[in-house]
Amino acid sequence: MMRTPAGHKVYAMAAEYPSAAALYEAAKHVRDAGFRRWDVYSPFPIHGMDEAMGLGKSWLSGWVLFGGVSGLLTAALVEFGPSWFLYRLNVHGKPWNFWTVPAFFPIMFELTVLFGAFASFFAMLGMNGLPRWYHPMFNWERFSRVTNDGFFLAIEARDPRFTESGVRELLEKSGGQHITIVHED
Amino acid sequence: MKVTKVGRAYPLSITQEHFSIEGRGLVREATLERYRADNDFAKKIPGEEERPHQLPSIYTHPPLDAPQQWGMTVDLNVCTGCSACVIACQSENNIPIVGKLQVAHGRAMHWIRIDRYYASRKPFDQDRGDWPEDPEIVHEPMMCQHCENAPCETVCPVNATVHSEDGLNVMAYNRCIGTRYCSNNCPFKVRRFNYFDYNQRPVGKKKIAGALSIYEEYFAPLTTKGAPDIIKMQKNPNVTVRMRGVMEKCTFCVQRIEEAKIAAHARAGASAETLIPRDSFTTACAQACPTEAIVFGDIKDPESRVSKMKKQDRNYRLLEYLNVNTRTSYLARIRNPNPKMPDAANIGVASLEEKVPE
Repeated sequence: MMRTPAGHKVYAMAAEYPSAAALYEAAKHVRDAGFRRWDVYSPFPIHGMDEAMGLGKSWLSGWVLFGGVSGLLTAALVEFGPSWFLYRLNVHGKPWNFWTVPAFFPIMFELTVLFGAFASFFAMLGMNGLPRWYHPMFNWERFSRVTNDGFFLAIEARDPRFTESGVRELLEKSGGQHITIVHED
Repeated sequence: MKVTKVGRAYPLSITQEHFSIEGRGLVREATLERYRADNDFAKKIPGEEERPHQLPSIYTHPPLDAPQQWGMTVDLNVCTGCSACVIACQSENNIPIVGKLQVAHGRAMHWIRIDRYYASRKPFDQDRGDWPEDPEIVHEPMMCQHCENAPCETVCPVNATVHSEDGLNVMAYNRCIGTRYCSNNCPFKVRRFNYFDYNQRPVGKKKIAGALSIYEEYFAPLTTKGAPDIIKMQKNPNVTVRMRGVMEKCTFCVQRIEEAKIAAHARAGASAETLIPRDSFTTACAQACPTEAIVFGDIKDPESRVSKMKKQDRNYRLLEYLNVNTRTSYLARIRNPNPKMPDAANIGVASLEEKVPE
């Protein structure tokens, strides 16, 4: 655990860039240096930035598939269980075997969609580390310009390749200004 | 007598507005001549003869395996349309009276209605303002047909209406949440919904609210709740008094069936003779029918009156092509018009109406 001289935990080393283009180029540098835990901050979306950062496919879809399948299985369980074994009722003369399944399609569909939607919502929150009340980047007073005209890049201290000197050198080489350590609390 | 135009309208509340049977073979009738030529005419009326009568089912149906199976026949030959069955049912089953306005809104709650159709040799189309000329009126008591494959049951999201093993389409009032899907899916339109708390709240009286005069049922939660003692005493204690938001319909007088069953079990004691004696009880409508057009009983017993009625060649079931397998069946009406009478040509033609005119 890296600490600042004042004893704070280090969150990241960050730099400011003069323009979106400079940030875009810097992101390519950092990507090529092999860092995994880092992010860029800008007042507006920058086209091609996900490629420049080397972001891959989001695996949120995996959670949605998991949610949908578990919804389908839950529906099958709560429908076939009672009407096949636990509490047989003669409804519309429908059989007490698998062929009554068309009657169960609406619930199967609805639970698939419901569980899939819940999975996508909560997995999105989890994967984004939300909800959080405060972000450490706000501990850097220059960072308040990020919603105005500031372009920032931060390499987090939990990245395995993070060393204070190496990161400072990389940020300097990529054209970063006001390079600083951002503390966590 | 003099008829003058007064220039204003007066709303009438009626329960049957439809004129045509739309070629669905609801009422089947024939002249005596036609019946003599073809005794089985009721089973092959126009519009249905090309369809197989017992459609193949892709399902294996759950067994209806009680020792006694209930069914009913209505003999249209002797039914006079007097509506005694409607009133008998209403008083037997604590059916609320809804008032004129609610009847006009189609919220009548009689479990039996007397359908009235017009029949004439000239085809007509009510929707296009094309009225029958000098029509014959045919009528038919219509109540829950107790379909063995009841379409109402499959749409209930809470399984409030399901089948009993003696073939009754039963309602669990406590379970009903009032979605009214069953009523919408009933091919016979015999399910009745309690829109306001007719048994507990004042209905059919106008109340003055400022400049408006509004029927009291629309103030339902604000009106005084409870029925006078005299009305309470009028209720049949063997039948639940249903509240607002609950679907109800003909039960084949399930309270009488259960009463007879309990009595049979009590008589049987330790012996195994628990069957209800043949034709020892009947439903309220059948009991009240002055011409005994309605016959109720055990259709599993080949010697019961209802089984004998069902064996007649005039016996037919409604909407058979839907494969709903109704427990109530009708006996076709045979007419013998005097050919010298001016409207003789229009007698016995209800089931000649082949299809809706183009």
